[in-house]
Amino acid sequence: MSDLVSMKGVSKKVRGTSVIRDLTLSIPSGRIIGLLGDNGIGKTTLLRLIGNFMLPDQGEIRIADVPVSSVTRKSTSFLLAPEQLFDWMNVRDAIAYYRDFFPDFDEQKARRISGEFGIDPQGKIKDLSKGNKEKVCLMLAFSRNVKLYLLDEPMGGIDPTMKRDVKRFILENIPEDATVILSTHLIKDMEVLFDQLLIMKDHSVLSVDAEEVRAKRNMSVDDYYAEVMSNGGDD
Amino acid sequence: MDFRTDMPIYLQIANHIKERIMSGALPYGEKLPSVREYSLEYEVSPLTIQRAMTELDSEGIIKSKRGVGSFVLVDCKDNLEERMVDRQIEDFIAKMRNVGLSDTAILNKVKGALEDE
Repeated sequence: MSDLVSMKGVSKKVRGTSVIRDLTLSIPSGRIIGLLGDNGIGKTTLLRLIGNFMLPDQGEIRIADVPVSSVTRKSTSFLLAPEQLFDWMNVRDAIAYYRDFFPDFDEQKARRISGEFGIDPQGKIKDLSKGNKEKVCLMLAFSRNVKLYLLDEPMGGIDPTMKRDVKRFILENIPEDATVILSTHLIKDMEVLFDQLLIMKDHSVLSVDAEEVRAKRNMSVDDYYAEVMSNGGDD
Repeated sequence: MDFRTDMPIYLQIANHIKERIMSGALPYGEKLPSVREYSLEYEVSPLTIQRAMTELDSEGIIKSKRGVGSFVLVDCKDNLEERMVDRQIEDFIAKMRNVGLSDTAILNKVKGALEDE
């Protein structure tokens, strides 16, 4: 089976500071992946590199064996941050905009999800609460039918009672065999969802299978993460 | 379902499905829900469900047929009971080791208890 995402010898500096150093990593299809790490460690940078919103200084990134480019960007759905939505649009305009921009966009799915979220299609985006803006972002990202979804902190402004709904939302709306990479701080809330973890620390990324952590170490992902963060996390 | 997060989720799901078969909630020969349906029911990834299915298949409890789905094996009762006994024993051993007993001590305790009966 060929990998969905493969990174070879990738390095990236942001504003003169090394964020990722000589990273080699492969990510298969059909996985839900938790991207974990302290604030400012480079989770967003990693997602932006995979999404081709940033170029690596060195190394190569491929998606389904195609080097990242405007072509792979079309087959990757990157979750917008609420502040990236055009404020002056209403929800229906945003749906039309996505439909015109992405041939894989499923307008019916977008309408169904908006209905389920209870979001008024005529409502101006600027009048929505932060939580509802995030829901619009999720709706747009998952109404695209692609193989890779990149979600940077999808639940920043969503209240605790909604977290479970977001988990369900992801499970209900991912196409078969698609991979989701999701950065989060809510490890305890989300860990049951993750197949694989990417833990960022000291310019490198530790990749582990969530079930293997539980089987071999008899510990939760949450505890394992704390352990990795407090010591070297060497095997 | 609330899972323990210090042991593999797929095994907890496999055990839960076994319990449903033993209780009769899932009759012998019955077709199991799809991976997607189970994924939503247990709120875990499709891969985790796939792993649970592979486990049940390898234990001779279900049979997965490509493109058709998975079925509870009509004659899996013996396998199920044997597995349940194995699991009880494994749990027991783990608990005794946790208390600090050596394997010899566990064996002697069990022997003693059996002789007392």
